[in-house]
Amino acid sequence: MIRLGLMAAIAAFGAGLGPPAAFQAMDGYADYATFRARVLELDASERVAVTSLGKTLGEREIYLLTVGMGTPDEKPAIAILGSVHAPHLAGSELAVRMARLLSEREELLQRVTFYVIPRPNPDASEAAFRKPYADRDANERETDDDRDGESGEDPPQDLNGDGWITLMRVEDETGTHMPHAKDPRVLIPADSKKNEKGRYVIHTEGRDSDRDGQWNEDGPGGVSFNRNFTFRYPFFKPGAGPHQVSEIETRAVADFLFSRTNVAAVFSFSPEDNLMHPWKGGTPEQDKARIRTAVASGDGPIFEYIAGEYQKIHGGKNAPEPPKGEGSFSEWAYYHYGRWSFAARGWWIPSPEPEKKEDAPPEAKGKPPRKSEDKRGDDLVQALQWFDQNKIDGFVPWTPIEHSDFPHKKVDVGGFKPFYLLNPPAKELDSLAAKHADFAARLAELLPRLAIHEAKVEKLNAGVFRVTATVANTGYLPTLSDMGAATRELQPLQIRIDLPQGVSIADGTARRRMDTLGGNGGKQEISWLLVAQSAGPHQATLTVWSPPVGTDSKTINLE
Amino acid sequence: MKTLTTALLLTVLSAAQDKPPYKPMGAPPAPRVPAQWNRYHDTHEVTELFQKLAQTHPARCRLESLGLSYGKREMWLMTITSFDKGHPQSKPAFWIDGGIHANEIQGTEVAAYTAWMLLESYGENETITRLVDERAFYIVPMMSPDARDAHMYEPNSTHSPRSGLRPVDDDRDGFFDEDGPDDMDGDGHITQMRIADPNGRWKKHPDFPNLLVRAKPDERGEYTLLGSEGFDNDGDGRVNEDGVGYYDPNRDWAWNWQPHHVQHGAYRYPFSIFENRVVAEFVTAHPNIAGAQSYHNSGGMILYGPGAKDDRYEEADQAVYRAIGKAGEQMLPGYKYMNVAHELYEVYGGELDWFYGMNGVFAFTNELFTDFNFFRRASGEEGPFGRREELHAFNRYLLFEEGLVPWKEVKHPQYGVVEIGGVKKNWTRQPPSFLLEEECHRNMAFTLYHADQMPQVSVASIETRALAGGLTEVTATIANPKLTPTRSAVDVKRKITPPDRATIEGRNVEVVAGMVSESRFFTRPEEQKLNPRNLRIESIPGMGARHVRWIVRGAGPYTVTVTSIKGGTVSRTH
Repeated sequence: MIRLGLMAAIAAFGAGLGPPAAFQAMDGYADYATFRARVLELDASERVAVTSLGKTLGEREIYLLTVGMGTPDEKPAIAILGSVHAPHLAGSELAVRMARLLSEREELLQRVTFYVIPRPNPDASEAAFRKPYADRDANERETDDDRDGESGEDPPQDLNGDGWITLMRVEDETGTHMPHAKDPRVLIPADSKKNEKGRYVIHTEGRDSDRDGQWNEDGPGGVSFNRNFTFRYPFFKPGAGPHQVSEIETRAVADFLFSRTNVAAVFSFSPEDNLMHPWKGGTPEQDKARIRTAVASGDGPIFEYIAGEYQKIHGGKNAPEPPKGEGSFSEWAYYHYGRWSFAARGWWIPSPEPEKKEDAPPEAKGKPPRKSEDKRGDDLVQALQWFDQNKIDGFVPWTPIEHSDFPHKKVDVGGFKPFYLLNPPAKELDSLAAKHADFAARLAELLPRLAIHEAKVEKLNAGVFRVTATVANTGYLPTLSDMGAATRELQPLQIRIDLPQGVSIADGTARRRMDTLGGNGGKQEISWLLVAQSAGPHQATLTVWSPPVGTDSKTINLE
Repeated sequence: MKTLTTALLLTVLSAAQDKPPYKPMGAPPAPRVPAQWNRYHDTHEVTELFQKLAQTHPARCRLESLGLSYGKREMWLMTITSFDKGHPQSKPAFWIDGGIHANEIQGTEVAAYTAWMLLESYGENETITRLVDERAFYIVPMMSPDARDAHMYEPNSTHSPRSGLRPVDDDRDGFFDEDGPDDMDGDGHITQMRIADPNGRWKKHPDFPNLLVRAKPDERGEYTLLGSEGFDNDGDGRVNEDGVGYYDPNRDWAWNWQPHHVQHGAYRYPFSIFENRVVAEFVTAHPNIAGAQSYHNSGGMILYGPGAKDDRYEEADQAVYRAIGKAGEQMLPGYKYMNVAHELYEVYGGELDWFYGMNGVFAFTNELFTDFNFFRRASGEEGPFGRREELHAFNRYLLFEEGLVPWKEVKHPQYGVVEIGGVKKNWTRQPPSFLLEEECHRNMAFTLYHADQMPQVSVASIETRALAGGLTEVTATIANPKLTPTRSAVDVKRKITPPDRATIEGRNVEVVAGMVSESRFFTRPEEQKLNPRNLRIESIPGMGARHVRWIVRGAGPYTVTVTSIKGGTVSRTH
């Protein structure tokens, strides 16, 4: 209780009084107060409506920015989420900027709405603005991460007083880690099978406060937004919460999305990047599984094409491998919410171009190298080089300390600072936001486009007509993804004929359900047999619609 | 003369009043809160009964609301235990709920009967008195109170509404609950529709003309069946495709939850149904709950999990389930102890799996009422409703034909002249009045047996032995003389609740070392190096014991205290 009270006090401080610049892990990033001010500023635009989906335990708002024109909820929509993984601070920064950039695109907004939730887990995001800075993804619910019956009893401690929670390495010949050959600051796991000997045992910086032989296994909070969703939910794991969608934040976002039947696609900033590393389609055999865990075979090529579009716009290369997304938002959005789901890390430490082997014989191209190279820790070595080149203070040099838990051992504190591997220098945010806004606009262009392509009236006899509508999709995406169809979360296309008095249908109903229309010319013919009681002229109206696809209508003369 | 008769009569009456009433075995004949158990209670009546019980028995009963349902009805929870004999949360507790599928209406009656019996028999019946003293009972009689009233007072069938009342766009056409069944004759019962049709494949049963049976392969039929009473309300060419609800509140629980394309009836995510969420929050906050029972209908089943074939219960826990379930088969004639996934149908996200998989609690679901009760014999038909002939014979001979709406002609907007008729909503899944009380009592008896078999720790013995150097070895046996372990195997495996603890206290007692052993001979004890005064015991098995030993400095007496979240707290001094 005391802990929570203290957090509330800090939150109040952050919200109103504190000078953010002096209290933050990375320069130029917005704490909650600054973020809130920026969001509320956007409300001034007539194309942005700012609302809150709920208030967190830390009393912060989960803001929603509806970027649209006219009746936004009646247009096909793309949902954009910022930092679903809270330490990924850039997500929130980019999402707010995207909202502003997209609000300037009048032509686009006539057709498509963007629902932007820039900071879905604001309590966790605030950890970057409160010392000691730790790689924390959890909200402020009290949790018992090590399931020992007590909550938060073994948090990390800032032993060297530098404001950062980094690592401790304890010199020990039974250790698990050894220095990297190219840069000894980087520690990599020793492989005993290769006769490598470990030199260090690694722990998070801190003491074993509950004396259970584990270090810092039950810190403050909480539940991770990005581990709390229903697909591949990690039951009983730290950060997963008491059950799926248990949190104010996840429930608010899920309930909002379920309430918006017009959402066609979801884009999130997340380490579970599927735009630099596109999801591969599964096999037709996997499509038949009752519980789907593979991308639908028909959706795979579309994910790859759209990832290609992203890569063209982004221009980056050699993005890091995404983590396994258990309980993640982006996988939920595809597998359970049934929408196209795209996730971008957005930025990573650039790596030098791999040497081009232009003389290699053509048949060797595209094949994996024969011998797998040992790349353990290379990305971190490279990160240190990049820090050095760009004068970024992202690493705490290993420095000896006295540690009472290890009385006769040599203990150093040091390692990468939280946030620096995942987030760009703030000066890059504007140009990155522009690229991602361009991608969101490109994605909007690729949405299905529905049209009553042709409406034919045949007079079969006096007062008897056959009306045939050809409905076509001229957009790139099909009107439903295969997974969308499988989940039965979205409304299929429907078509309706409205008739004047005195004209009736001889073959069934006015309103009918249609098939999914494939992209780039998928079409279906629907016909009605009509009987007119009186001589014309009669007019009828055809309307075809589905909330995530759009609508079209056409008036015809029965003659 | 007249005066004399009156006086005489009064004397006789008062003599009769002086003597206790002749008591049948079973329910108390003169309860302080009168109740009638051969009828069904609506939400208001259950509320009134529970409020009266709470007012009348304040020393053993508290009533609270967990919140308001979607339709703004209270979610009543009653706690029953002797409050003067320990805080409810210090005692092993038993969970009882009914009516999560509100049309399965007698579940609520069994839960209410149990509350009433526990309170009204306290002090009269020794077993019940002991149970109310030793255990706590948490009872939610109506898990889905909105739909209970809807079943009783809106047109429905015996099968509806299984869902709660939140509107859902079942046919995904953008309209919500717009095309449910219609009570075409206004009698409150949604029955069946048939149309006379020489090309139909159904005909009248030779003995029971209201019953339709399939024509033989080479025989001409008389009727075509057209489904439930109703028409196409929304002009999409389909009939009754989007009625009240639909979600299944018993597919909303977190363990092994799957979305509705995998598990029909799942709503948005686990506990997206508020009525369930408040229950789940209460249960999670009360880890002293060690046993649970949900009441459903029908078919005479004592169901245990897992609900899905890809899930598995721990071996040791299955043995406990089986011992309790098999005892239930004897108490509930015609009921069968059955697994959900392998013997009924697969269920993802069922309540009983959540109780077990995420709370480590042994939980049963009883499917109340069985066709065995028609004529006290097995009908020979698998399935929840038994043989239709037995049902119709019972209807003729014992219900005097009251269970059916006879077929009659009505005009249908799409089909023309059709006939409607069939079983009433208050028949087939529900026992008739004269069987209801028996159903309540027998199921309560099974549940109280289970409640009595929840763990109960005791310090069975303390022995001391002098060691060299002024040290003493103190050995205690911690026993659990009940079927259920203090922590189920799944609880231990997933670390759901903290382990049991044994501590030693005494003036000037300094604990030098401590250990726990499965064997009374300490053949392979486990020493606890950190904080040996407070020994952690993973679990005390059912009908078994664990042994703890301390090496201490300092004279006795020694007090050994055992704290078990699900098995209670006891102390003993030696």
